[in-house]
Amino acid sequence: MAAAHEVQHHTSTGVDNRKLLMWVFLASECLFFGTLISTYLIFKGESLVPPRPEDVLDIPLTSASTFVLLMSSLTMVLAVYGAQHGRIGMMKGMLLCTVLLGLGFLGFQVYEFMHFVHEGLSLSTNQFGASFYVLTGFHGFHVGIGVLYLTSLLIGSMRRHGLGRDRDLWVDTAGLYWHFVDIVWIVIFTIIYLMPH
Amino acid sequence: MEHEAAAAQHNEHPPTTIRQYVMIGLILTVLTVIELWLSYSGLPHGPLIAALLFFSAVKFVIVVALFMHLRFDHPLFRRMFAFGFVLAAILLVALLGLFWGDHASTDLVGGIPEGAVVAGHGDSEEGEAEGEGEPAGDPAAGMVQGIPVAEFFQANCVACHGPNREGVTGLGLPLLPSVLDQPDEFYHDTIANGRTGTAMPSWTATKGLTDADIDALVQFIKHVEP
Ligand code: HEC
Repeated sequence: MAAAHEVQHHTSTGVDNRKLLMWVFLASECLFFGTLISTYLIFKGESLVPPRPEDVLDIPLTSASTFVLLMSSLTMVLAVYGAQHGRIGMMKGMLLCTVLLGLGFLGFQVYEFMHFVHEGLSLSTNQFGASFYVLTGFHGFHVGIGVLYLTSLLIGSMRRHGLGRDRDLWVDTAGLYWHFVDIVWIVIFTIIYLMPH
Repeated sequence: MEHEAAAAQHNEHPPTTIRQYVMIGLILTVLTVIELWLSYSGLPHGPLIAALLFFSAVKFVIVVALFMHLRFDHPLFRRMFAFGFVLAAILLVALLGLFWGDHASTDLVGGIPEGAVVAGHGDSEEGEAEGEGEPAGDPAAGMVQGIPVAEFFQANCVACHGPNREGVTGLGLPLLPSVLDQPDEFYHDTIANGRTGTAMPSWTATKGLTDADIDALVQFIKHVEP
């Protein structure tokens, strides 16, 4: 029982270290994606051989997947709300929705990648292929990690004691990660898909 | 009592209600639709890019401030994230400043500031290009697709052949008068058709160079010292 009532750690910063860790990690992720986005911009228009972005990008399709990811941010924030206000059913339901929407986004991405490969664009075709796949691939990888992260919370919440006393912290921190992945997509969508080629 | 202290800390929840969250989600969707509409609106590139960046920045801030509730959270988190974000922004500006338009497509040529060329090696070629007014037949004065041959070379070939045509290990060979001892036709053919199995592309295929364009390039690499 003592373990279950784990004492709130007192930290010199006055904030929970676990949540601080997530923010520090997200700060470093800014640099990670910042570099990849810079690379994409630098290589933009430098491809010696086709296909070029305007030949393959499908904006309506990607708008749909963007919408899916945006909605997953909404369901995520509602899951955090549920966790914070003790509405466990809502928390679980919304976590499940977020996981499903995340999987939906990944489905779109897999379809898109397969379609592009079919059109003759691979990682090594040209500068566009290289920078596009690396940037969006790493983003997709983050979404994948997020799906596993949220699934683990969902499974945790099914246990007898649920997520325990730190429930809202766990869900809140996972939410931070999830929203971050969403804002990276907001930037990627604008820069890769909407900006004129 | 530890309990209550902890609970109290945990209860500092963002004041946002479910209804407000849904509203925020709606606003984000509307902003995305506006961006999409803009991208199809046929606006000139300058204003279009500015508008797109503006809208995605607004969305970015909304998500960070309200969904990640940084607005209501501990200042330490805010500073932490701002630090990473600002550093990333500086990195982006620095990288773009260094490399943007480095081996840019031809339509960017001329607009490239001297300093944008890697390590500033471009100087000599740029210098050659100024000999435009010199008598016809001067290998340094040739034109390729309407731009001085040196500039064309700078924009298209330096990535593989090096800024001073010294070659790049693992990529293109050196293209200097001292090493190019084959007949003109040989090099003409290489530039026109590329070399299968190597990175050297066909410039007739990729850029639509004419024979005259290629002649100018051959004269340039065979007779002009970098
Ligand atoms: C994507 C890289 C790349 C680019 C860009 C490129 N080249 Fe090459 N080039 C090569 C490679 C690699 C070789 C060597 C092929 C071999 O090993 O036979 C080569 C060979 C050559 C040769 C033959 C040299 C010799 O000694 O046989 C000439 C001439 C040449 N390139 C001219 C140009 C010109 C002019 C441009 C710009 C319009 C250009 N190249 C752009 C990669 C490139």
